[in-house]
Amino acid sequence: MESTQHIDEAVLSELEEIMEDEFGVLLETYLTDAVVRLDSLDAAMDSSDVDLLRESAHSLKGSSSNIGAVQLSGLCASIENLARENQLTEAATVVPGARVEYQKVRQLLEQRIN
Amino acid sequence: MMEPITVLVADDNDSDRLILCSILKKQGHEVIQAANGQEAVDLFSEHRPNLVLLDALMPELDGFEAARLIKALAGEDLIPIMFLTSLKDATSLAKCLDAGGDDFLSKPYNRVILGAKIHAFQRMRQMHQTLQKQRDQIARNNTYLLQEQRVAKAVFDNVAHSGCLDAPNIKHLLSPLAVFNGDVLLAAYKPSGGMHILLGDFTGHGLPAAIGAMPLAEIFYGMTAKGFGMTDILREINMRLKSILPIGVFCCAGMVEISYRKRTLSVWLGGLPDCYLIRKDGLIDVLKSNHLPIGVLKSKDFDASTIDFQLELGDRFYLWSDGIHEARNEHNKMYGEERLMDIFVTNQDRDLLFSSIKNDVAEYIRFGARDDDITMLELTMVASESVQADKFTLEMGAITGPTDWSMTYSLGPGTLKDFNPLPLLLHLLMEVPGLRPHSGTLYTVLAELYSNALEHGVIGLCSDLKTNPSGFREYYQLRKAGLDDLTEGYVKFRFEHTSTEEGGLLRFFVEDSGAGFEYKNEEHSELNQEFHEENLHGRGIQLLKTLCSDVRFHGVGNEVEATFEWQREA
Repeated sequence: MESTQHIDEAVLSELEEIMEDEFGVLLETYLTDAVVRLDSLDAAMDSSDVDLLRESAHSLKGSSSNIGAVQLSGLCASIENLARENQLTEAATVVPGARVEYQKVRQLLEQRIN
Repeated sequence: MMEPITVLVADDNDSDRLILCSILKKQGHEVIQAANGQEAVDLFSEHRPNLVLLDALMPELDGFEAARLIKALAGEDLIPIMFLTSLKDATSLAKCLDAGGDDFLSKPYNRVILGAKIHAFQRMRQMHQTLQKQRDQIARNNTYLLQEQRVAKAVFDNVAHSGCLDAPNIKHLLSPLAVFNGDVLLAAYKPSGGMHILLGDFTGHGLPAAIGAMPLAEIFYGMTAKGFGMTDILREINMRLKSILPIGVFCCAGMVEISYRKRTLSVWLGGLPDCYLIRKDGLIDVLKSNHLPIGVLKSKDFDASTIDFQLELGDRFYLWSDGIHEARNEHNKMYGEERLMDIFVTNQDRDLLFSSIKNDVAEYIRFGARDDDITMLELTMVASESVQADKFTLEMGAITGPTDWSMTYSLGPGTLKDFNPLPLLLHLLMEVPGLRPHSGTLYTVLAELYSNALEHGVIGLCSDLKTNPSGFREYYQLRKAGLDDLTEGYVKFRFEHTSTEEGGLLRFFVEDSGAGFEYKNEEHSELNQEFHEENLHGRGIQLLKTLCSDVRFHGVGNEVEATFEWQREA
């Protein structure tokens, strides 16, 4: 189940209704912002900065949940928890997965925009 | 449905902020956006939004610090702050509340929940505004009320000045704002040198209780100055209060007339607690209120009769409202009459009696709730020389007015029964400007001439009776009986006034229907004549002789001629 559902379609539909003409702008904004947060995750791993890791994961978790990217939000929540518990080694196994998941979300959202 | 408001949204995450702003705009609200904490604080100052939505974790200034600054800027306005967070741990949530957060909104955003929260905040905000408005209104009303009371008090003080409460033989207790508790204490010198004192306690509190005090004081001072007696004044006050006060509002009162020359005290008590008369030898007379309060009965039912006492120097009279009796301690128990009487019974030094009562009551209510004012008065009988009325400050116009004139005024039996002609006669004499500073003397002369003519002449009473207290009472009983039975007789006044170089000459002729007395036989023997007059007329004639330049008798002794000379003031 988890592996198949990258986007919660119901959330996205509701957003489309709320945002109207700005729906496309919202998705682009999210995708751009998400890249910044993913880069922060990598940088945090490189410098073993648990605070930066936790904050970046927290932020991406929130915006992903708002956009309906449930799986990416779940991965960020795992990273946030591991960062809080100082488990950098375990986090290192999850962070790359987040970027992979992002690519899938991006593909789906871009299809939606066009 | 919902009144649109202005919302400040602060979130460093662009997509989250976009979503929130869109939801809010869709619900009709105005939105201001900030991308960090510092921007949020700056925009808050600039726009004063009604609601603030803050992300907890933001660059520059985090949400917690921004919330503190915004709450400080909001002052006493209610500006709810809602934290946008998916933080779940208790420590983080507590941190939000500590910073002044009022609520949370978690991600993913749900527009129904957000709408409900905003709605709740709006109701809260409206209640807060209503509360503030009402609070400000109450504060304004209170200021206004105090202002009104100050003005009312100033007016009242002009009308109901304390009169001669500062006389050396009076001690009194009256709080400055007592009038708003309905308490009034008035004292005034009579033209004859005696005094009138009135203690009143109106029902109710505040302005309604104070309002009746104005006509009361005006009548009291006005009529006392014109020479009216206590019973006339009481009747007039009762009539006026009865006509102006609403049903249920009245005035418990005690009025006293004291004569220092005759050493007499007349008391009228209506609705007040028992008052005490303590004699020099320690005997205590308890005087009960035997009348209804003033302003209750119609004129025809009003009883102005007094209880009269012959006093000795040093005798003291105590008059009070129920403030003492009803003073409560911390257990809500009243001070009561027994405690008051105890102080009188155990008192050793009369001079300390007044302050003993005052201190004991103050000690008793020290921890209690103060609900009524304590008003009381001590009046001591002293020699007439030690109570000196200030020279009446009469407005002296240019010295004009009647100079050479005469008049006669005859009173028949029906009039003599219950009419007091003295105020009218004094009023007439006061038309002569030069006589105004002598109103007290003239009143005394008139009063002596009239009471001699009426009591010894028309009724034929013997003044010997007045030499002891029981005789004094008998004298007044006989006087009353004599007046009640009066079917014939007269008193005839004739005044003649002429002007002189220095001022004027006023001659009184007072004739009565009595049998007179044999004055001619002893005309050449001054000693005998004085002895005779002393017997027939009591102290009165001696007094007349000290006040007038000449006193002589005519006819069969039923006509007195008294001459009063006055000098124009430099």
